[in-house]
Amino acid sequence: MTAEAGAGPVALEHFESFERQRGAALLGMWVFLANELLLFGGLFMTALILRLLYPEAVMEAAGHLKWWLGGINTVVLITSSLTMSFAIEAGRELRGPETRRALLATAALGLLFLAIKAVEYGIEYEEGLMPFLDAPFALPDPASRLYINLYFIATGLHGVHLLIGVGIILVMWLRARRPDFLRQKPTHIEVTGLYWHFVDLIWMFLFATLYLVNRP
Amino acid sequence: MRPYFAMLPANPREPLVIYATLLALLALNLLLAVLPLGVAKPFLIVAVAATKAAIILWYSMEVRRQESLVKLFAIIGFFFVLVLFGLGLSDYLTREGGYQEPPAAEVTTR
Repeated sequence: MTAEAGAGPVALEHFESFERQRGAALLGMWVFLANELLLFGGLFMTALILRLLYPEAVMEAAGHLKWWLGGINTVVLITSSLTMSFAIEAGRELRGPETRRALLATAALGLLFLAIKAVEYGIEYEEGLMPFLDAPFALPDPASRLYINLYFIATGLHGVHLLIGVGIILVMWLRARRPDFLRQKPTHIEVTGLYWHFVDLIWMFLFATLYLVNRP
Repeated sequence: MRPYFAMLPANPREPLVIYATLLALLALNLLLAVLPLGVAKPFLIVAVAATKAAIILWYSMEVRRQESLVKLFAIIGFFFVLVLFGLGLSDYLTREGGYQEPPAAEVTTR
């Protein structure tokens, strides 16, 4: 790419315009996210079937989940989406330092989410709600173990996605140190933002499904 | 100056409006979870969560400003999740005499 300072949009040589280049970048990310959605879709389907088959056991298990910690984490993630939007907007205006600050804030909020999640897992371990790691299981109904297993698989998978997101954001933060990064890679922050917002979107459903819907 | 994104209008207030709306919907979700709403409760909670997801999709992820092909891919994943649910539930909800629990297996509870 040969973008000179002050020049208008210049596309990579195999794209006829920057709009086409950006469209390809966004489409690629969306194809990936559609696949991700189906991955999580199977877990939501499992939650629904467990609820239909074993309503009492599921409600008992869900009643032991820490909805207030999940709620705090929802606020943390919504806030991180806000800072991500700021990063995208600042990046579009080629305001490097602001972009980096917003990216760093987003990564920090992501880590805060994971820290709160770790505290939550710790409490659940103490309460005997981890039917693995050789811990005794506190709930009497074996079917409630299915729901708790699903809870750990779904939130764990989401946590892995979040951790990957934090990693990508920190890479962007490092790369944006270069003053010409935003001009040379104008879609990078935007595509990273799509992934981050998507992880936020999945959590909206996870929080409602695992914590709230089945509360007794 | 936004040389690459002159086609997108700058609206610094929009993320803040989205943020406030999502927080309000979260509060509504938590309220619905504690109110005694009977059978409607799960549907209402999921409806509010879906509204939050739609706002993130349409505004934060800017699907509304994308070209048609990107819009199609952004929405088609949700369509296939609905297919997944439809096909799955067509079994669980239509078995004659309701769903029969499988015979109890030997379960060891530690």
